[in-house]
This record gives sequence, C-alpha cells and structure tokens, in this order.
Amino acid sequence: MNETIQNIRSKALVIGLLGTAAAGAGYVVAGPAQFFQSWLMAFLYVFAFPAGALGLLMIHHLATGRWGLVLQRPYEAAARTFPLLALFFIPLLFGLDHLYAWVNPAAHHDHVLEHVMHHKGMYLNVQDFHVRAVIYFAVWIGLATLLVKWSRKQDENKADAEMYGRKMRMLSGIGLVAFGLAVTFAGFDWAMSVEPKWYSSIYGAMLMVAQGLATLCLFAIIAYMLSADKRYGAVIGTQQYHDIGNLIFAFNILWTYMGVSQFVIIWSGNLPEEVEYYIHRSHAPWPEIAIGLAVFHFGIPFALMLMKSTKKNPRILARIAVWLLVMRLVDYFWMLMPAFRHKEFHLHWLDLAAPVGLFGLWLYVFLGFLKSRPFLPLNDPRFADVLAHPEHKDTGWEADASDA
Amino acid sequence: MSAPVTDKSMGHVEIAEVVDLRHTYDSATDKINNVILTKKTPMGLTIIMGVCFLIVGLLMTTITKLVSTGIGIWGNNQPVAWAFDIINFVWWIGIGHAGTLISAILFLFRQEWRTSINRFAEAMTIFAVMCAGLFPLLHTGRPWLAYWLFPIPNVMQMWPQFRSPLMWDVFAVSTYFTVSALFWYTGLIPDLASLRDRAKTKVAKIITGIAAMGWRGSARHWQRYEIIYLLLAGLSTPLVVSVHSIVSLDFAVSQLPGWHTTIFPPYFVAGAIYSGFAMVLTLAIPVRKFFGFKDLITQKHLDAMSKVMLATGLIVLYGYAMEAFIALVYSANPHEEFLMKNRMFGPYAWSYWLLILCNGVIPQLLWLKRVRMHTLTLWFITIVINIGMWLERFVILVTTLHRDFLPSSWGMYAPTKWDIAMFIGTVGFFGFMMCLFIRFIPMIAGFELRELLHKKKTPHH
Repeated sequence: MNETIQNIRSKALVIGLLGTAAAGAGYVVAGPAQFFQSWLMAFLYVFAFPAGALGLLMIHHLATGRWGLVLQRPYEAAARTFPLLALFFIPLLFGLDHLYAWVNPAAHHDHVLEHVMHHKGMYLNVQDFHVRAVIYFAVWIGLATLLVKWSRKQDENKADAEMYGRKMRMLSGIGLVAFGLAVTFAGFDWAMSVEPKWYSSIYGAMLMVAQGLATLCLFAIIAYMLSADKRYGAVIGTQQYHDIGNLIFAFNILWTYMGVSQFVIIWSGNLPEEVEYYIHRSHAPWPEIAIGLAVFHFGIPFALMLMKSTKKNPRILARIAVWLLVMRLVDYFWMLMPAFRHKEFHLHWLDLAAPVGLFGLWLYVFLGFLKSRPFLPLNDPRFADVLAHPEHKDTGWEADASDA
Repeated sequence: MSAPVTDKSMGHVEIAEVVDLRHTYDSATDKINNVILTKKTPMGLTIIMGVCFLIVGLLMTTITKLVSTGIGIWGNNQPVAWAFDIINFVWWIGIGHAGTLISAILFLFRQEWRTSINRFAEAMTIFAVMCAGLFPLLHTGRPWLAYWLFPIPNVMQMWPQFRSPLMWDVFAVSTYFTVSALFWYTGLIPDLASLRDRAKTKVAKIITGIAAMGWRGSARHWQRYEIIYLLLAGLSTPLVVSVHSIVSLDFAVSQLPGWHTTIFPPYFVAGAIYSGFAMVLTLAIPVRKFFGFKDLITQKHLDAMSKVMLATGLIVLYGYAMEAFIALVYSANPHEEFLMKNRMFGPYAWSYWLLILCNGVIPQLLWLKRVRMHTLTLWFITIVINIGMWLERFVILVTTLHRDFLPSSWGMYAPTKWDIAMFIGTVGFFGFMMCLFIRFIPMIAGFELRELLHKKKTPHH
C-alpha cells in the first residue's frame, strides 16, 4: 500500500512543482492581475479539502457512523495541511489591490463603490483583512492540531481511548461553532468581496457545503485506493461506499439547492446592489457555464447517483467523484472570474496551471500525512463494534431494514 | 411468553438503550395496545380532552364570526398587512417538520432512536399541517372559493399566478399533507392488524379490521410493505426541505429589508426542525410519564432529540448572525441598516431580545448532559423554544412591515381578541386531535419496536 501512495506522491510532487513553477512564470509572462486571479481560484479550490475535512471530522466525532470511521484518517491528514494552505495564502497578500476593488476604491472611477466603501470600510480594509486571516488560520490550525494530537494518543494508548474520544467529542461541539464562523467570514473576505458592492447572506453556508462536497469526492477516491490495503479492505465494503455515495449525493443536492435559492431570491428582488452579481454573469459564455454547471455538476451526477448500483460500486463512484472534482473547479471559476472578466471573457492557461500546481503540492503533503499513521482508528471504542461484525460489511441498508 | 412487564418491576432506572431490553414482544405490544383496548379512558386524558374541546368550540365560534363578518375583525391592516395569520401559519407548518424528519430522514439514516417516537411525531405533523392550513385558507376571506387557487380550467379567465411563491405554497403544503398522511397510514397498517387480532369487542374488531385493510402479515405483505415504506420515505425527504423553503420565499422574494435575504431558505428549514423537535418533546415528555412509557421512549431518545435541537438551534442562530452582520456592517444599505436597528432598538425591541433569549441563549443549556438528562428542565426548555420560534415569525413579520420606506405610513400592530382566539383555538384543536390519537391509535409503532427488540437481543446484530 505504502508503495502505491509513495508512487502517487512522487507524481503529485512533480506535477505540483511544474504547475507552481508555471504559475510563477505566468506572473512574469501574463502579468500580476492574471496571476493573482488564477492563484486565488487555485487557493480556494485546494482550501476546500482541509476545510471540508476539518468540518466533517468534527461532525464525525459528534455523530457516530461506520462511514466516518473509514474516513477519519483521511480527514485528519487533510486537516493537518492548514499550515500549507497558510503558505499558499501568503502570495495573495501581495496582490490584494489586483483582486479586491475595495482596497483602493478611488482608483476604479465608480461612485457607487466609493460611496458604499464609506460604510463598508470599517470591515473591508487591508489591515483588518490581515488580522482576520491570522485569526481564521489560528482557529483551524488550533482545532486540527488538538484533534490530531488526541487521536494519536488514542492510537498509542488503548487504556485511555475512551477518555480521548470524549475529549475529541467535546472539542468538536464548540469547535464546529468556531469553525463555521471562521469559514463563513473567510469566505466573505476572500471570495465574496471580489465583488465589493454585492452581498449574499447564504454565501458562507454555500461555501461550506461546496467544501464538504469536494472533500467527500476526494475521499471516495482515497478510500477506494486504500481498499487495496489488507486491513482497510477488510473493513470497507459495499455499504460504506454506499454511505459515502449517499453523502456525496446529498451534498450535491444541497449545493444546488443553495445556489438556486440565492438565484431565485436575488433575481425576483431585482435590486440594483444585488442583481449586479447576475448581470456580470449575463453575457456569453457565463450563462452557458451556469447551465453547464446545472447539467454536469448537478443533473447528470444526480441521475447517475439515484441508482444504488453506482454508489455501491467503488470504481463507478470514484469516477463520478473525479468528475465532480473537475466540476468544482468550474464552479469556482464561475463564482470568482466574472468579477474581473465580465466585460471581456477570457480563459488563460494560468487558470489551469495554478490549480493543478497547488493541488499537486497539496496532495503530496496530504498523502505524506496519511501514510504516516495507520489507516484506521483501531483504538476508537466505536471501532470494536465494526471489527466484531465484519459480516455487516456487505449488507446493504435495505437488507438491514428487512432482515429482522 | 412472559407476563407483561409492569411499571413497578421496571423501577425508575435510567435506561441507556433505545428500548428496555427486559421487554418481550408480547409485553411491549400489550403495553402499547392496552392504552387503546380498554374501555376506561384515564381521568387525566378525559379532562385534557374536555378542556381542548371547549377551546375547539372557541375556534368554531371565531371562524363563524370571521366568515360572517370578514377578516376586518383581525388586527392586520396597512402597514402591517400580514400578521397573526401568517405568523401562525409558519409556526404550525414548522412544527410539522419534525414528524417528517423523524419518520423519513432518520429512517434513511438507520437511526434506531426514531422507533417509538416516529408514529407520535407523524401524527403531530398531520394535525399541525391542518392547523397551519386554516390560516391562509381563512385569510383568503372567502374560503369557499379557495379552489380557485388550483389550476382548474374554467370559463372565468381565472388562472393562478404561478410566479408567486404563495401559489407554490398551495402545491407544497397540499403535497406535504398528502404524503405525510399516506406515510403515516401505511406505517399504521401492521399495527392496526395487531389491534384487530387483540380486540375483544365486536365493534372494535370490525373497525380495526376495516382499517387494517386485510393485513395478514404474510411474507409477501411484509416484502411489499418494506418497499412502499422506503419509497414513501424517499418521497418525504425532499418535502422536509421544499415546504419550508417555499414558505421562506413568501418573504424572501419581496424587496423588503428583513425579508429579502438569501439565507432565508436553509435558515427557515433549520428553524422548522428546531421547533418541530421542541414540540415533539413538549408532548412526549408528559405522555411518557403519564402512560409509563419510560421504558419505550427512553432517556436516549430525549438525549438524541435534545442534540438535534441544539444543532438546529445553532444553525438558526447563525442565520440571525448573518442577517445582522449583513444588514449592519456589510451591506452598506441604509434600509437594511435601519430595519435591523429598528428591530433591535425600535418599539418592538422587546420581541427581538426575547426571541434571542428563547432561541439563542436558554437552549445553550442543552450543551450540558445534566440538563439533557433532567426531564423537567428539558421540558421547560422545549416550551421556551416553542415560544421563541413563534416570536421569530412575529419579529420577521411585524418589525419588517410596521416601518416601511415611507415614514408617513408607519404604524403599530396589535392583535385583536379574534386574532388571539383563533390562535388559541388552533392550539386547542391540535391538543384535541392529539388526545384522540393517543386514545384510539397505537402511539408507538409496535411492530417496529418488536423488530428493534429482535435486533438488540439477537447477537451479531
């Protein structure tokens, strides 16, 4: 197993370095504006994995479930990558004026923006932006560090397993509150404010759902990969894939639901300060991209995943997951780029190189963390039940409901 | 088969399982069915039913007065054109959501603790939706013409306005009611059959016999039952989200500050589940004490439901926080800002802060296991949440409408005695229906409980 991971790691490293180097070269070739736009999108795309993983890890600690146990180690490994994300974030700090019109409203010859910034300036200003970013990362890194530390102690010390389980549960309750607020406001700061006049109160929730979706998709693939491991393969079975598949299905519906809600409300209200967001997306090819997302991000995966057989078959599930991970990138493109390119659409090779580069580097680090610990939390008290009933592995839930 | 387990032998031990494992199939079934198959109605139940019946009389009087006079007897008028009618509609619809969530979503998630409370919660859903439906129906002013809301071909050139969420409400709520009723009844059939088999009087045998629709409990019956139940659960699941999302759009698609905000749909759904679970507990806690059902509706149920309330309550609080943050800090929209300040410090400030206290502050006690385990405190908290969720709708409706864009048209709102009578009347109707349900229909799904007992008692399950 470790060889497979090492193999993927080295490939990820090469791709990551190439992509990042290309992005660096892009700074010189294409200019800073293009570079920062692509880098922001790439950053947010990769950020989804540790963020989604940390949120799901805490939900897993609070709500027991077998699907959670097989994903716990991938969650923890991903949550440990927040410092790397902080590193990825640093370049953005040098390009704030290229990304956010609120940094220097006078330069944009937009009276409305200048007027609005009189009020918004108390929140949207460079200094507070920095301070808040430090707070967000401190919250995430703090939570991830503690949860991973206790989980490691649980591995080493079977006698105290119960106690560490309780500790993780306690932290997860409070932690989810802090985490949710940090992700929401980070979403406002980093993504929503690229259109500084616009606002939408669902934005934070929608971002969290999208992050959860991306994380589950990635981990469906990781779980399939790990199933080659003897011990892991003995625990994961059709039912776990089915559960993970159902969650991906549910998160995808939730993402669509929130996107549609936002659109219906803003479109019906048709208020100038809000509808600008959709006006920016009203010229070709933006509406086509939106329809594409509706069909390929939601419609087709939805139709495929209605069938039990697609969710129970890890190979098919992994393919759908790869597809959805591609669609996630398209969604970030749709969310961010019209702010900069609504007058003139263009697609730059940097828009692909930067995400691929950052994702490659991230994957390299993530897999390193993943392989450094056992793939299953064997000392988790909940795990005893899983090992005691291996025959449960292959029973579907409909069998479960009717076998009594 | 052992003798039925009595309450005395159970003692008052706290039960950590979702069902007391000392029960046998027989004892559990008897315990549930004995409430129905007896000629003696408990005195307490008779008294409660009597009081509720009097209140139903009040409701009937109000409706008569309303229909004969017109909705002018209500307190809503410009600028607060929507008030108690919609507040109570949303409140009741929200309460219904817990039933659907427990019966459908928790079923799909294989949560064991849904058994023994699902029947009860589903009944609550149905009665709550009935109460909810009354308000918009009567608010039309001419309820006998309510069928005009449906797209029925006619010669009057009347066609519904499909672009209005109020129209979507008609479809959402009627679908919701239909599916909930079907789901509830389907789940009842095996239990009605076991009632039929145990009935002693001829009348009881005939009535339960017809209601059981020829259920014999054959393998084929069970196989079909499992399929239809799963399908209905799948159908109900989107309804949990769609109904309250559409209710939220009634407000959100307008341009009014305080209504027009994108967080509304998910935040309304969370609020609905929050209030629904609170209501299930408000009713279940006294019932389990009164009928000695502590071994069937155990501490574990109360604990799980408290946690759901805590989680959904935090989502609701997140909604308030987003609204306030966007309005006061981020939007830079003077109308939004005024609305939020007026909500917090205007003439109705008391309702806003009371709402924060009821929905945001007091329920945080549920973080403590001690509070979740203390039934009386828990019961008190559920009532506080019920009040809080009612206040939420009051705040949304009244504080938004009473001071609009034009100061010359500002006004204040107060309900009339008929508003209050109608609201109390529906509470009485709800209570009356719940009493009838408790007396005549098995309030815990007996066969699901037996299945759970089987699973728990058989090793390797």
